[in-house]
Amino acid sequence: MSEDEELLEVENLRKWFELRKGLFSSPLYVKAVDGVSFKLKKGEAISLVGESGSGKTTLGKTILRLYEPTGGTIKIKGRDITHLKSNELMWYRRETALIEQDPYGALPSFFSIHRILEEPLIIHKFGNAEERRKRVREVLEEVRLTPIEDFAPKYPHMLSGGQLQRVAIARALTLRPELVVADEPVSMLDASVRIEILNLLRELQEKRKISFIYITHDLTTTKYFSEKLFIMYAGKIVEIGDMLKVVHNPLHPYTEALLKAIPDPDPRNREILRDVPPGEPPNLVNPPSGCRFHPRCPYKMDICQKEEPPVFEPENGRFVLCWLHAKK
Amino acid sequence: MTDTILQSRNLKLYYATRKGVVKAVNNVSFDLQKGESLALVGESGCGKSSLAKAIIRLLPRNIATYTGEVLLEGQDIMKLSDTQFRRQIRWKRISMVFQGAMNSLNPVLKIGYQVAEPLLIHEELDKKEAKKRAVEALRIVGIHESFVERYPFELSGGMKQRTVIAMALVTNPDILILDEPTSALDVITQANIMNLLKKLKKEMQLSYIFITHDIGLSSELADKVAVMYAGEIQEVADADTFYAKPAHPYSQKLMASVPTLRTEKKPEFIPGAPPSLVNPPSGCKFHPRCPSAFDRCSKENPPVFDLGSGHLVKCWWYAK
Repeated sequence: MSEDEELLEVENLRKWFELRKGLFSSPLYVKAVDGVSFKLKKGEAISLVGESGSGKTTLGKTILRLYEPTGGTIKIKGRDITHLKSNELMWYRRETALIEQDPYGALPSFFSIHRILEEPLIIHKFGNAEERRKRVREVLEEVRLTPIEDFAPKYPHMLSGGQLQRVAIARALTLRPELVVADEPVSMLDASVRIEILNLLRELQEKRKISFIYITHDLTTTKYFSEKLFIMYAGKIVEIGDMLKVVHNPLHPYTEALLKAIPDPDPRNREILRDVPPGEPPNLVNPPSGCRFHPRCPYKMDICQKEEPPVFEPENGRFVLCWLHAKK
Repeated sequence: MTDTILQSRNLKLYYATRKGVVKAVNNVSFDLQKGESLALVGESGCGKSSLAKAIIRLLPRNIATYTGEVLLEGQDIMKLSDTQFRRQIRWKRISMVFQGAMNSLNPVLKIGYQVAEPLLIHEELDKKEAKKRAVEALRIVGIHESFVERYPFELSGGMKQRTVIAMALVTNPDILILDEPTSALDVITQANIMNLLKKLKKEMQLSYIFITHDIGLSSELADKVAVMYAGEIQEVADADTFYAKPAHPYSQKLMASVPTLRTEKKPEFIPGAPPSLVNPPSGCKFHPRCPSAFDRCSKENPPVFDLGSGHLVKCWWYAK
C-alpha cells in the first residue's frame, strides 16, 4: 500500500452510553461521541486534544472497537469493521493497539516482563517459542530497556513509572500494529521523564510507519509529537489543522480559549488575569442546542444557538465547526 | 517594607515505614513575606506536600522525627501543644486547600453548611452568624447565594473547587497553603481559578504557599520560587530571577524539560529517576543525575550559598 493511502476512515461516528432508565420513561443517553468524521493516512501521527469529558477517550476506544459504535462507520484499509463481532475482529486486534494512561495498573503484577510481552504473541499464535523470544528481545531493545537480560526476568513492581510505561509501549508494539492509540501515555509520569517517553513514541512511530493517535488534555506536549492537531469539545471534533497553524492562528473560539488558558513559564504571568470564557463544558446527556460551545462563546451570533454548524474549510486543509467561518 | 509572616528553620519531618525512615522533609528553611506568594515546585515524591503538612501540623501517625522551628510572626508555633495549635493557629491563621479536596466534600451536606462548619467549630459562632459569613465567603469566590442550599453533586468541578477555597478563607486566615489546587480541573477552569486566586491575593493581602509540579502554572502566582528535590529545598529565588536564570542544575534541567506552547524550544529530559527517600544518595541528592557533578558532590551534602538579594542555592558550584 502506498504512503498516501488512507488507513483509517471514520464517518459520522457516534457512541452513546445508555443511562439507567426508569420503567416508564424513555432512556437517556450520554452522547460521548456524537458525529465524528476524519481520515488518517498510513504512517500519519495526529494529536487529539480535549478536556476531561469531551469524549476523546471514548472516541479512541470506539475506533479500536473496544466499544461497539452506536452509529456511523469505521473503515480500515477500505474494510468496514463497524459492526464485526469479536471473533471476526482478531485480525483487527493484531493491527491495532492501545497504550493507556496508568502504567501501574496496565501490567499484571504476577507476570515477568518477558511473559507480559510474550502474552499477545501467544494469544495471536505467533511463531514458536524461539521466534517469540526473539520478538520480545526486539521490542525491549526498541524501547531501550537494556540490558535486556536484566529487564526481561523482572516483575512490574521492580520498575519505575517511566520504565513501566516503556514496557506498556513495548507490549503494544509486539504484534507490529499499523494503528496505535495512546491515551494520555505520559500524564502520570514525572515531568522530567515525560519528554523522554514522548520522544521515544515519536521515534518508533516514524521508524515503524505507524498511524498514531495521541490523546491528551495537555496541548503543550502535542507540538513535539505530531504535525496535525484535532480539537475535541463536547463529543465533537471542532477543529482540525496543522499544529503550528492552529497554535498561532486558531479558527474555533474554543481552541482560542484553550490556548489562552495555558501558561508558559513566565514571571509576568502573575501580573495578568487571563481572558478565558466562564463556565464549564456542557452535560452530554442534554447538550446545548446548535453549536455546543455557544453558551460560553464570546463571538456568539443568533444562528449559533439555533443551528448546528457544519464543517467549513476556510483554508486548504483546515476544518472548523463554527458559523464564523461560513462563506459569506 | 514588607514584613516576614512565616519562617521555617531546619524543619524536619521523617516517617517511620517498614522499609525504613523516609526523610520527606529534611532541614527545610524558607521565609514568607506578608502578601507574598511562594511557589513550592518539585516532582511527585519530593516532599512538597509533606512540607505543607508539617507547617499546618496535620500529620499521619507514623512520625519518626518532627523538629525544627516554624515562626509565625516571630512566635515559634512548633512549641505549641496540639490543643493550642488547633485553637490558635490551624484554620485561624493558616488554612489549606488540599489536593483533590473538591472530591472530599460531604455528599449529604449542603455546601453552605460545609463552608460554615469551621466557624461553628473554631469560632463557636451561632448558626445564623456562621451562615452569614459562609455566604460572604462564597460570594468572594464567585458563587451566588442561591447555591448555599445546594449539595455538592449539583456543582461543577470548578464550583466545587471554589467552595473548597471558600472553606479555607471563611476563618480569615493570614496564610493560605494551596496544594495543587487545580490538578483535577480542565485548563480553562484552571485559568479561571488562577484568576480568582490572583484577585483574592490582591484584595485580601493573603500570603500563599502554592504547591505544584507544574513550572508553567507556578509562574501564574509566584513572587518567589522554591525548588524541592528529595526532601530538600535546592534553590530559592524571586520569580524574575528564577525564570530568567535558575542557578541550581536541577532547576535548570527542570525548566528545560517544560514543554512550551509559544516558543520553539525543544524540551530535554533528565536521565534517571528521582531517588528513594529511604536511601537517598550520599552528598548532594541530585548528583547521580547531575550533568555538572564533580567529586565533592557525591561526598558532602552542599550547604546553602547566598548569591545575593535572597537568591539561595544548595550546590557546590557556588562555593567560593
